[in-house]
Amino acid sequence: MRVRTPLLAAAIVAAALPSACGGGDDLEGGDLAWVRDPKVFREPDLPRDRVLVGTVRNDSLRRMKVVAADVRAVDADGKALRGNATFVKGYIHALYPPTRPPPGGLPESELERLGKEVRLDPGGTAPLSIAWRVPRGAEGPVRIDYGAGFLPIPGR
Amino acid sequence: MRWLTAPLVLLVLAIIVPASAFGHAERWSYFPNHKAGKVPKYKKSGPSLVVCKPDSRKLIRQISTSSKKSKAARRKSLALLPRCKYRHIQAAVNAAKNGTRILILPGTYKEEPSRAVANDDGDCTGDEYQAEEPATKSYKFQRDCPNSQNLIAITGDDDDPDRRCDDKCNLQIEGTGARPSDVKVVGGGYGLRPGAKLNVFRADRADGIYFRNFLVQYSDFNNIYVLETNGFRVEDVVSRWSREYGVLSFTSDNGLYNRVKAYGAGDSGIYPGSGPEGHCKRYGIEVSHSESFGNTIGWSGTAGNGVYTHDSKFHHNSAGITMDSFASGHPGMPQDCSKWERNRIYSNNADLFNSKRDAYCQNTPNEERDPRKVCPTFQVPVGTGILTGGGNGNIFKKNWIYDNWRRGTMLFWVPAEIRGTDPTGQSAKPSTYDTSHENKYVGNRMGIRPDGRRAPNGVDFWWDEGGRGNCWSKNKGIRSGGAFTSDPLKLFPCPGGSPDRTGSSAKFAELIPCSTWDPQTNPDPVGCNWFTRPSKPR
Repeated sequence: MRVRTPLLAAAIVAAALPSACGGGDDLEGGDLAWVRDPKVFREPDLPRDRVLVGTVRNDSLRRMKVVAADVRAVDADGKALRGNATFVKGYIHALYPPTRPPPGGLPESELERLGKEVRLDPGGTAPLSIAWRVPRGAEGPVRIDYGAGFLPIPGR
Repeated sequence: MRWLTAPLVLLVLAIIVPASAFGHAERWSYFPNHKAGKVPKYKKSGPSLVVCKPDSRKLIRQISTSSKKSKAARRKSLALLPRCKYRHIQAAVNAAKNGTRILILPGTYKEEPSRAVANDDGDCTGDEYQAEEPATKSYKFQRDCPNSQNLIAITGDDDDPDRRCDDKCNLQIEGTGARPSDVKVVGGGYGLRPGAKLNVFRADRADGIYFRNFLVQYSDFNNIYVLETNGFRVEDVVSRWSREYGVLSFTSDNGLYNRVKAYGAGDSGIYPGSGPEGHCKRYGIEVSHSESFGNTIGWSGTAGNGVYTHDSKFHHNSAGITMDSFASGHPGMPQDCSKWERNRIYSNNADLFNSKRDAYCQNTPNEERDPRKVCPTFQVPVGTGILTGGGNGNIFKKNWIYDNWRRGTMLFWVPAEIRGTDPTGQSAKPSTYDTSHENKYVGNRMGIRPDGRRAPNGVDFWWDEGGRGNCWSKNKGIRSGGAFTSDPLKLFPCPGGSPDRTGSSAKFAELIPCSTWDPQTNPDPVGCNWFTRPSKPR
């Protein structure tokens, strides 16, 4: 027998924009594009946080490297909101304890495994998850800045 | 199978991941042939060496005579005193031959000669000591320079290539006091503290090793570390205050943790990781009548396979139990086939990720830390009883799971690609959706103490709704008619269980941001609620 759980799964708070996949959006510029409509989620107990989950594609003709730390949700003034991004599509864990990195720092393979960076051949794709926190009384972000360009945020 | 509504193309991961173990770089490690080993039995006779301290006589005389057991321990210890020839346990290990019992009289053992050995012993540098991975130490290094990384090292394999024990096999290292705390083995502490060692005890290819009746503390990584060992037993041992792990076994088989008490570990108190490859045909390691509390995690095991844990207690940790396929470098992936029966998993709400603790752990160098203050080295959803993150064929039967304020249990998928390829060839080839399947939750009591008092979990069963054959039957909760709580509401009964499908994208959106946790740079990731202790459920 089961009863209704007091906790509900995270709610989808915004649907994807059909325009999100194509070019021409003035909030999209650069070589990365959403493969399909990403989704934005919100945890009930984190009302100011949003988590966007999608897949990006390298639409350029050259190999790209994108660093997760450079991927930020930014507001209309171009200011980055507090947040984090990762190129993984499920929960993972670091091999090395965070306070005990190997000599010389994490190897490239571990940085990629952890979703801290990604290398994409032309046409290559990768999962991308971005979380941001909207400051009290502020508007949400208007786009995703990944350093070398922008991605639109669906539902805006 | 597809996880999101839109198919996700895999991240290209033609990555050979570093060959490492459980969080620090380790040489490539291999499972022993389980048929060639067995759990060691207690030896009451046979060759023995006696270790003591100058104050052992005084301490022995202080042993209570109030019980038959303590009286016998006192008498035995006094009788052994004249035979004492060693002041340090390592010295006795060095003198031991196969089958020797090393009897340690009451006292505090700091192993000063071992502490004086440099952590990168100059005698053991050179290409011949390189392991397969840069920055790791080969077995030969451990054999030739046993106290570079270890306070007490038992390395049993000689120069032959078989990775089996030749000497220092079947050692029994035993405190002779009336209780474990009568013999204290004390590491040098954490980080750069003089004398700090990664491991207090290292049993490396030390088949048949038996640790019994002592207390061990203050390792920079593991208080007891058992590696590539066929047959081991840890019994009546108290492990406390280790920077990472209390008692850890890795690529070992035929093991028994019996009456182990573990607390104060930055990761987990008990860690049977890269467990035996029984694939549901046998359990190669048993954890029995043990208790683990006050750690970040009570019991954990990446690739914690084939472990039978029963009649034990995991409580007052941040999370009680985790088994997973999260990380690379663990032979035996993906995790499978462990069994949990008649355990109590309760009150795992330790608030170790709060801002005050974060600040202390961030701002205090390891060597200056109070080793009794746990600094988490692994992220967990505070308030969780049992977390299975990428695991197959596990059985959870007749456990008492209560007062875990977030969730009694969690079960979710982990993408296989993140594991990379196992360079030792001892793991299944990664296949994206190769977890979490065929897990069974049967006959558990949820949200109620054994004495009948109500102690609800936040939610009894949480599942990402993915994987085939996962099932829940005969579990009882505290709601009307014995109902339990679950997310999702619909669970699938045994046998049969869930159809083959992928999980909920909304649930993955909860999990993914938590991956970005870093105690130094990102202790409270946006979008992740794991690190705030939930309020007590009503």
